[in-house]
Amino acid sequence: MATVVAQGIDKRFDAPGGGVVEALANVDLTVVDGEFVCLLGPSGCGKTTLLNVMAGLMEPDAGTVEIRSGEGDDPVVRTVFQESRLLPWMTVRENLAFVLDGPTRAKNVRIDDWLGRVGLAGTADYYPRQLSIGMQQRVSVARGLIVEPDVVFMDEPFGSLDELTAMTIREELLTLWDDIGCTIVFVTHNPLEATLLADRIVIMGSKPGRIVHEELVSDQVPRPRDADDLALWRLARSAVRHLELG
Amino acid sequence: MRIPSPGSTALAPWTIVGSYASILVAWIVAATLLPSELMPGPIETMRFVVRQIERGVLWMHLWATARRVLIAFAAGLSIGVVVGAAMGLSRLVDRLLQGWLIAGLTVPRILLFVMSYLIFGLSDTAAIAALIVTIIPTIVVQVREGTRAIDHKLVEMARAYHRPRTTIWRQVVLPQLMPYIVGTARSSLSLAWKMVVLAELLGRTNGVGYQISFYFQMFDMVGILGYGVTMMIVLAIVDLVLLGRWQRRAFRWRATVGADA
Repeated sequence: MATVVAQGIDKRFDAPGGGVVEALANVDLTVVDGEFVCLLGPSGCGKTTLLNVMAGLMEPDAGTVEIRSGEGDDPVVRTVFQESRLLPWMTVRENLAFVLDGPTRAKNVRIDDWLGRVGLAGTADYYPRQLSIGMQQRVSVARGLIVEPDVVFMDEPFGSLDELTAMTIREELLTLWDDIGCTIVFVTHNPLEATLLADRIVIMGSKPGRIVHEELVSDQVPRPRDADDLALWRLARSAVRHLELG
Repeated sequence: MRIPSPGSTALAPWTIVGSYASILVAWIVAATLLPSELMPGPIETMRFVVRQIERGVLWMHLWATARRVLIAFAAGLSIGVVVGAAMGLSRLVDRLLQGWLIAGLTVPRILLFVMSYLIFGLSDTAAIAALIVTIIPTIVVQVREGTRAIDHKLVEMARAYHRPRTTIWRQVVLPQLMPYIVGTARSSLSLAWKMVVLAELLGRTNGVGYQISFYFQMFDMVGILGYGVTMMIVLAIVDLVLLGRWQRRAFRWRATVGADA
């Protein structure tokens, strides 16, 4: 249970061949407890940079990020990357155990439970290379959620999957999010994915990277949502128009 | 061009047996063509080896040599891995040690042994020290390359999941260095194994190299071949059985490609 508050975030990079790229300029974003926010934008608009800054993986040049937990103790924050980033020399079970602390027996019970929840029961002893890209990404999602974190940052985790696989995993993610009740910040360049998943879509523009528009999906399309719902398509179209303007 | 996929066709086991057998055949042919005092045959040589074993001297000399190699190998590998990793991780360390590395790679090995004997005296310490210096540079080069090839995305993942520093080193960095470490271990062990003979020939009173120089002074080709061949066989066994097994264990996760999920 946690709220993420980013204020006045600036981030610059040295451009190849000289000069400076303003990846983020004075970005403010608050994601409230239990909210599912999608950062939507074209390539190079700074959405991944904003995610990395909020996740604490990157220092901003200016501004602050605060992750406040309702209970007062340190919130548990996890990141799910674009690539699965599984350790290839470890089995699925070892990859999940790698991020867990505590006695082996308790770890194993938990791992078996979670493999079932992401539809991977029976794959514990496989090495990542023996799994399809979709299954690897499922393990990666399980690794991010297995500690039942307060906040999860996800960087286009389904971007490299075929659409059929991505559709199933999106549904599974929504179920898991509902079970855990965590806050999710999810980067995507896919407007339909954003409208299906998000409570709120934050649309970003580039040069400099900034927030150009916000769309409150939860007001317009209640959950559970149907991927074929025309309202989602209309919202996605509207988001695309903002993308073009931005 | 078609790239052959490894292990796609099983080769008959006789191919590898044939490879070793052809060496034996070449030896026999050479022995029949040349006078026996210049090129004794395998049977004559093996008789000599058996006699040496019965007298107990073969194991004594072999062990003296193996001991020097193992100590130098263990010390050289440890130092080389640490230095190589440091050079791969830090540009400053890399620049500071650049000259030493080049000097180490280019120095004539015999110079190291002669200098070491002059500095430390004709002792085991001198021989082992020179052996260590001999193998370190190649290990450093390999491990440095390995460190530069580390996938930093995996390290970033481990940091994002708040894994302790030692865990990241042991479970994320080291497995990525293993192919380089194992590869260089095999080549540096065989280098140490060859150079130790030179060290013993120059300044020791036991070991295989000393025996070879002894039989050289006696113009006894059977003795020279007997010790030389025994040493080759021992190294081949160590390399194939011990290091080969280590290599297979370290990479068993790679060998599983193709099994369907």
